[in-house]
Amino acid sequence: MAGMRKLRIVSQILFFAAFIISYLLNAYPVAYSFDSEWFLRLNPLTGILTLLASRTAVLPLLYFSVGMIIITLVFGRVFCGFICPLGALIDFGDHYIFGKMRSPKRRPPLYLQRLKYVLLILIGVCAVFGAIFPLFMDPLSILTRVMTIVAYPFALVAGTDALSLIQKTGLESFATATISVPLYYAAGATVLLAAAVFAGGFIDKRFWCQYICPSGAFFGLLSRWAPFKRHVDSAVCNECSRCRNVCPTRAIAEKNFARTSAAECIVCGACVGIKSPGCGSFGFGGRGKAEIAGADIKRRHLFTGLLGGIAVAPLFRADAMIRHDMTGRLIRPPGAVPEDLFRGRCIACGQCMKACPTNAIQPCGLTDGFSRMYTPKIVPRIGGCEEKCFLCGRVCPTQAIRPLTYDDKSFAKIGTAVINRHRCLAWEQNKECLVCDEVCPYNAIEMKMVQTDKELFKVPIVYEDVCMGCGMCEQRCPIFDEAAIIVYRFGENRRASGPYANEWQKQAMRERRKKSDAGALESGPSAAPGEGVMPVDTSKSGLGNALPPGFVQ
Amino acid sequence: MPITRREFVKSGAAAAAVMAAGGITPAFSAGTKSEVYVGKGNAADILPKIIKKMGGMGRFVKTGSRVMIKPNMSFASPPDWGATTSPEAVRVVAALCLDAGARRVIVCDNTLREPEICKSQSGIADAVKDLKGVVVFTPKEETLFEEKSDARARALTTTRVVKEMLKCDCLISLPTAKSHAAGGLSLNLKGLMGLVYDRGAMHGQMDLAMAIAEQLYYIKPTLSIIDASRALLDNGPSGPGQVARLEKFVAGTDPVAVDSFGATLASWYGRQYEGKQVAHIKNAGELGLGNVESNMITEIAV
Repeated sequence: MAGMRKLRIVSQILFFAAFIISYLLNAYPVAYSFDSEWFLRLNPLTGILTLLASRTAVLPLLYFSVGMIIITLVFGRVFCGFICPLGALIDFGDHYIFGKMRSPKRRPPLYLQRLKYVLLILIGVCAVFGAIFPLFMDPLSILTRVMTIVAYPFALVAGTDALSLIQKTGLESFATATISVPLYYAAGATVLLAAAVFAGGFIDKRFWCQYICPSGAFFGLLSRWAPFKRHVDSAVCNECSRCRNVCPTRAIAEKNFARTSAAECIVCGACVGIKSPGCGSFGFGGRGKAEIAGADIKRRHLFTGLLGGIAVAPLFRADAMIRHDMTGRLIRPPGAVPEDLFRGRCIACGQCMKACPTNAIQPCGLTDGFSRMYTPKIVPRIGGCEEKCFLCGRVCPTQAIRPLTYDDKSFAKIGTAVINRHRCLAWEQNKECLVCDEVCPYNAIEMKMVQTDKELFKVPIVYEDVCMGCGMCEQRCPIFDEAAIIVYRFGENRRASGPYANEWQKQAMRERRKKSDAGALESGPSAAPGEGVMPVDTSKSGLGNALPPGFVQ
Repeated sequence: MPITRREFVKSGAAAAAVMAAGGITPAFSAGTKSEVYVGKGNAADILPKIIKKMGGMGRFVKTGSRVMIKPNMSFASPPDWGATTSPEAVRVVAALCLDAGARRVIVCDNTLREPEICKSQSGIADAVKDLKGVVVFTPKEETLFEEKSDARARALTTTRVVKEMLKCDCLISLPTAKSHAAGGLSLNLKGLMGLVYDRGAMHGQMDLAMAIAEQLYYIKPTLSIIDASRALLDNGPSGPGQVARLEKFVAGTDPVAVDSFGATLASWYGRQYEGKQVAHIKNAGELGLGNVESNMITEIAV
């Protein structure tokens, strides 16, 4: 059944393609019609750990988790062999890139495989104490994160260079083509992360999967009693040990070739029929015997893991409690659940960062605290939160950011804008500027005639109760570097469940935005035709008899 | 002052020749009155009539030429807010250009809000998507703009304008009619800011009203049409505000004159204004870039 190996390769290609397609479809606006986060839900460890850490059940996520657990209980670590796109990439790299550089005789000591179980227990204990340690726990989120922050933008930058070359030929259809490139902080750190994950290829096949991946450890623990397993026909086996040499995870015992470690076997099929047809096979009841061993961990490893977890978990809690954000600038995307719960749900996958159409969502760095690293924050200077978009919650696999409706999102306040009067062009320099008023989608800024330090001038004023903290003002403020209007975290409205809008807010909003339920057109058809004479109450605009800005006598 | 159609077409041909020679604003020469054509109706009916009365689109668009249309598309507002050009008007003008033989029509605006959302919310992307040869272009990256300087300018001594515009044979300015909280009104002249890269500097480092007028040194619309189908009377440029359904269109080759006339169309902020009361229009007139005084503007009803 060398066909199994072929089947596995086809499956890896298909799932990798599905992953890439899902990833590319995670974009505004197509992601509204497509659940691009489904792929990230495939790893049951994500579901289990977020369930433990958040003490809440996110059902769409858990359905996937239960399904994959059942598959693993029956088939063993097929996720690692057939599904995981990181595994597929590692297989590719192992064979085509690192193949010649490794020495096949010198593999790391076998006991190193226990490390991943220790790490699994460690992050499990952290989860019990309420914290997700997202850095390395889930291969799917690692891959998405690396793609979002590094691979995709770098590919797009190369694309813009290629495009400008093509445009020099003057071909009409390319003349107005543009590629917009999202850029992210922590690109350097993420390159290092990717290198760390893949560099193991220099040392051993499936290095990550054998020694580090806690998800692999989780699958391994579940595979012990899987009915679908490896069999060896002892009548055919001549103990040539080729199967052991070719196994990427060394799951076949050294002296007894019929003995397979179900915890390490990733069901890749490389050993099937390696010497003669039928010498090794996979099935529910195959030819020959199947001797199955569990994970090679002793009690002391369990204790190491537990102790490690008990040591690390409070570190996490302490780090989360320290005031890293002294200036109040850590702004979470709209719909993010309250911070305690957020810590228990966000797996730092980067889906929201990819989906955001204005490149507003950025990964937190070390300065935000290592417990928050890679979790999302909005940096308004780079991009404001687009009023009509509510994608981030839709694509979050764990609902750390809740999926909101458009109406709800209009009340999911993420912060409040504050004008620095000493930097503002209008306030300080008495220059005609009103870009913040112009661009504010919520009509939270008004221009008022005010006696400034120098002259009576028209200046912007923020109505804090209307302001949603979207940050369009900060993004567009023409002042260089630090904008004259900055969004701070205070006033943020985060709910763990339930709708956001309340009647008081709706009423205040209605009045401020000067838009009644009848709509802006109401004054239209009833006006004297062709004249546009409106009974506008100029006293409301604070003008008195003065001319509005831009007009002269 | 009635002129015969023949005289008109001749002057149009002369203008086109000058335009083909490049460089000088063909629409305006000092001392000559500027004509503005005013029509009322919906875009599909009245716009072709207006263009026909001006001598046909072929006066501005030659066979095989590349045309750029500059609408207001900068906000993610629905068309009935009056903050963006109506999609029907964009479609009609683009179709007229294609009929006149244009090989490419580029609907271009450097939007203030996120481009994809502006394109879809304003309805403009959908309105032109089935017209072959028409593309919507929202340049944002610096590399898509080219730096230009002009010694005559006092405020806007240097600026960066859309490269594609410089490569086009014809520019049609197609703004909506709206108030503007800093500029007074936003018509053709203010709308030209959508072809400029560094608008922050225009607010912060120079007199805005002068900078808006001086854009005409760099950006020269061949044809200017104000879409006053829905006039946003206050709370512009983004709205929402009071909207008057004027159902009017004003066109001309002198963008300053068209703007000056356009200022009289509605009661902005509850008051009537003359063109010369809008600071940037007044500046443009004083710089000799177009006609502002009403006695130098001929209104031709269509």
